[in-house]
Amino acid sequence: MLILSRNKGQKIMINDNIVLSILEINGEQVRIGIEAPSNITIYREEIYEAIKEQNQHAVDFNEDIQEILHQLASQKKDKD
Amino acid sequence: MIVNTRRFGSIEVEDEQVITFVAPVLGFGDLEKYIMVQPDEDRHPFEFLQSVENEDLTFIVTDPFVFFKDYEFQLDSHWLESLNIESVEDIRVLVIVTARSAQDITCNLKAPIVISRVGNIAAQIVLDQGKYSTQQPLIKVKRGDGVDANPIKE
Repeated sequence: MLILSRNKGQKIMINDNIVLSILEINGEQVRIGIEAPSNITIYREEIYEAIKEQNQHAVDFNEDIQEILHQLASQKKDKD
Repeated sequence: MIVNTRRFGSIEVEDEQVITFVAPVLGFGDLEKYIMVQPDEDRHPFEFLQSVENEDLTFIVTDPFVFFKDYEFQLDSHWLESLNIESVEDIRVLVIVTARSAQDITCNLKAPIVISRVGNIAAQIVLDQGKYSTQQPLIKVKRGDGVDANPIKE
């Protein structure tokens, strides 16, 4: 891992189109500004991991789920 | 084209029906082509999002608005651009369902799949502001008396 020290107000360039700015340092918390092209997606790591994990659970369903969905769908229909 | 699937056998689809993910389903970054599969009408509002590139990979998806009428989010401008969206009519929103058992079915309201009808391109979008859950129960909704009208906060 590349490790750089930066002061408040300083920036980091990644390629020539991504800019990370250190906006504010407040004890344990750092505020970072990110400028990047629209095709770059930026996530908070813990949220990214939570969604990735959820997606991986989601594909792991049993074959009897067809029957469960059928029941749920018809219950839903009855209610509507 | 023919799409081979473990769960549904071989399916013939038109090339235009293939959905291309410009931002992947998180955790499945190497897969970008999917098709929608609706085995028969009585599963409505559930459908399957089947990978074209991995025949074993199938997501259960549903229309979130059927279950959560107040569900809403704003799309950042960079998504409008990368998905070629000009109006709300251009998009279809789905959420991924996790079904562990008949009693334990949740959907991921925090990371909806947005499909743009213009070019059939899609993305899983993360709603960063913490209102919606990745594991919102679908079952409770059936008891529905308004209490669950606003999805549970995390």
